[in-house]
Amino acid sequence: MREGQGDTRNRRLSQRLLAFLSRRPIIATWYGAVLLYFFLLVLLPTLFVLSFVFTGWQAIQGLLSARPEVLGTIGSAILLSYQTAIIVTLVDLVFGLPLAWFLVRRAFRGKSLLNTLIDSPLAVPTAGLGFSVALFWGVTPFLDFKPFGSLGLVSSGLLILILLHFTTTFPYMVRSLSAILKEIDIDYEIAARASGASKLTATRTVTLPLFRSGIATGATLVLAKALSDTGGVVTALTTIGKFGVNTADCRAEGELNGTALIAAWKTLSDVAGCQSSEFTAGLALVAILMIVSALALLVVVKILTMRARIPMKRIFPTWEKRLSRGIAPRIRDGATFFFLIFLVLIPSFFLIGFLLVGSPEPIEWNTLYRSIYFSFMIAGVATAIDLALGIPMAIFIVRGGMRRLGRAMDVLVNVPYIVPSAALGISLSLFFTQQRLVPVPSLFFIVTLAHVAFTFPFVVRNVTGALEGLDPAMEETARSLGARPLQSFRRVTFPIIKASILAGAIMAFTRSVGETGATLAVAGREAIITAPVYIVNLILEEQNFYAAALATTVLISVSATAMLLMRYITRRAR
Amino acid sequence: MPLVELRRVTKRFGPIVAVEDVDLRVDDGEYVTVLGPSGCGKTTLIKMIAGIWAPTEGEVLVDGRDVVPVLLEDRDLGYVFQNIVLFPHLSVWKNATYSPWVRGLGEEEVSSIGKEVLRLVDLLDQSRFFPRELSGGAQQKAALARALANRAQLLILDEPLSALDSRVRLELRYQLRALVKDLGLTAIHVTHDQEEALSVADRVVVMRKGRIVEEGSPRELYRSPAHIFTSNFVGENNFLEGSIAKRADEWALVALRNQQYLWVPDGRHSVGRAVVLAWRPEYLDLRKGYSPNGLPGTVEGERFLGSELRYIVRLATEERVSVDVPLTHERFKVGEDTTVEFDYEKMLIYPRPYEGLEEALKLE
Repeated sequence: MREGQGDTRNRRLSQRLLAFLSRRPIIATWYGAVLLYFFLLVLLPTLFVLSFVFTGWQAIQGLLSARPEVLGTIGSAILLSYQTAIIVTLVDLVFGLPLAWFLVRRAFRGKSLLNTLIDSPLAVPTAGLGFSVALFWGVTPFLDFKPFGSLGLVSSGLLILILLHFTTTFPYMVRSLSAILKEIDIDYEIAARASGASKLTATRTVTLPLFRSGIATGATLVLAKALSDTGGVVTALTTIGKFGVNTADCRAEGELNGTALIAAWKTLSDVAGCQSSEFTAGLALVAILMIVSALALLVVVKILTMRARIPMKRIFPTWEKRLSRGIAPRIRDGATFFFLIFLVLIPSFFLIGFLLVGSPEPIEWNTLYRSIYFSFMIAGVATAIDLALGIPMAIFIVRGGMRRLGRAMDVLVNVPYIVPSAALGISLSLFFTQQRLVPVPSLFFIVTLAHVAFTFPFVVRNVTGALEGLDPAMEETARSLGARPLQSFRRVTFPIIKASILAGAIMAFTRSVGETGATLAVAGREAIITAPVYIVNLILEEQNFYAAALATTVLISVSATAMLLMRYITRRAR
Repeated sequence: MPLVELRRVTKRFGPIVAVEDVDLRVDDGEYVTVLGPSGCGKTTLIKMIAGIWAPTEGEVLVDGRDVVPVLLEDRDLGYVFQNIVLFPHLSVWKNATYSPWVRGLGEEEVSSIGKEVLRLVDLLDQSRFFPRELSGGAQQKAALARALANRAQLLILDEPLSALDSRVRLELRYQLRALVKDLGLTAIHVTHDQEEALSVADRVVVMRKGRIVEEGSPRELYRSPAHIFTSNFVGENNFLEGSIAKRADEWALVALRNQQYLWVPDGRHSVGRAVVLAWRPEYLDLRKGYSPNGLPGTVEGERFLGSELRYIVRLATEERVSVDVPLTHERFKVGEDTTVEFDYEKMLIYPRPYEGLEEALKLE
């Protein structure tokens, strides 16, 4: 093969560039920059609100003495959040385990279809899910007719929130459980059964104890998601008439949980007639309590799943044998699929049916298009930043060579994910209005930063997972054949972990597009209207369910198209 | 009466036929090895005996009873895995007592069985350790104890020694057989290692491409394998191709390649028949100068095997043979002319396989 001289020169140049970029100081600088960004613009702003305890103590005291009932309001809101999250997590576990088993251990036709179905609620922004679920289950005081197929049963805030969060969290639970179950060798079950254990006994005594990390991951994801959701909560509570903002009295009304309270107070703090300083203190207080309790809960979950002894002492051979065969497993599978279909899938997509039977109402298409444009801009920029920072961060965690710091980062990266995003938004806006360290950028920029903070962990998690599964010998082989570190990454590591990077990017992007809480908390309901905020506004201000359903459907189809396009492009690129 | 009997068993996975039309009997108290190259269906075969997979066609009988519908946990057998699979979250003690424990036996009985099986494999003093704290060999012994604690008559060993170091493998091999014989158990032991198969078994079953090629005692299989595949897979062999040119009583003159001829003892093949002659390397000898029952050749290489020397010789027929000689044997240099002598008593003769010699010897 003959090559032109220019080719050779180019190649030599790129070789030299690679050699230069692969030098230790350059790589160390890059790591340093990533770490600096993380600490300064992600972690610090996320936890900044905690400093309000010291700087704003007087404001908090002032609020509590002026309006002592506030403490009770906050307490019951946070209690409602945790009741919901814990019940949802337990129920998700009960139905998620058999479904994960079914998906991983059985071979059947249409497995990928079932996988897609399970994931499909993730395509609906939670603001849409909230009122879709509420329309299906709830009594709807603002609607002058009962939509076809609607059950009209639920009027309790707690119950509607639980039903809502089945749809927002169940896919996460099933995904994380089946990912770990895949890693557990089926021979353990076979060995147990060859020793005379029935299926139930084998699962209980062998597979489940090996499964702790999967349960911990699933429970963490579900708890965090259920605690932090705002859009779905606000629309669901509004639809059943349990969320109200009384601008005349400057009071939030209804059955509010933590994030709904933040959304309501944030709205009130922008109202001219209300004392905004009181609400600043109140918001900070809710945010602090939610952040601290969320972190504490996660530690508890970790300890519970890792330390707790699954009751193992007693064995009931005949009973367990009887439950392992015949009708019992069928009842279990039937109940699981009943849950999937009637408590997750149908409520999620009920709003599309509503479009068919509801009476059409006008919708401001321009505002809708603008809001979708905003959502995609923010999500696109945030995902790009996530990738630029997340991949080096993941490499640093797995291969950085600084064991302690790497492990510490592994934990710290999760903090912004675990912190309820509405509380994170409050913290971020406080940070950018009060500190003097970083110049105050535009509101759009702060919203984007907020989105980076809670989507960043998706990329890092996915990439560290893939890197940990990758044999370092592969890169070493490339290096021994003369490849520079950057070359070996590009030619060997990158192609292998590409799928995980893409998965992380898609998760980050969809999460950003569907997010409401942080956006509301930073910008309020008027300044920057992303698509989910627009949906919330339609429901909250106008009770225009038809328009909200239409806007959600448009958003789902645009997101789905974007996703398919992205898959198509990356597949072509291969 | 046989303990285990397979009747015309076939197993298909989609279009792939893993096991085809297999009949097998294993008698009470017998130690049987199933030997075959990887992918020959031997693991599938024992998984069907264990009840992990159901056969597509055919019957599996244990004690004369059809066990296909019987679930794995009710089969009453001990199963030992190649990849050991001790439960990592349980101590050696808990692993060893897993079976009596899940069967709901009383505490005293559980502990007496645990002590007994751990004593058998000599691990009683390590019972508090966790599996990851043991060496590979000790782990497999613990797994064996777990299987024995099931108190089953039938022990199924799926490549039990393949994951271990070669020295440990040798030691454990004989312990395994001694244990099975002492306890009067029946064992079906799958392996791809022919030396292991020969040294532990009462009877060896050779498999290839999902079918049983032949079976017999280790001695029979080594000395007089009926199938040419076995003659090369169980131990090594040298092959010379030719055809019968002339017959005289119990002797035949075989015309080899390049106008070379050998008189060999054979009463079975008629004149004109294409045959393959086979000798193991240790049944050949080298000498300088002419020999009436030998073929001329050139030494092409010499390999040191420890207890003996192996010469690679290119014969006048252009075929290459390996010759094993004791270290005290007279030496040859590479490139030197020599004569290969054949021990006719130990010769094997096969009709030439219709698919060709190379194809007939292929592992897959």
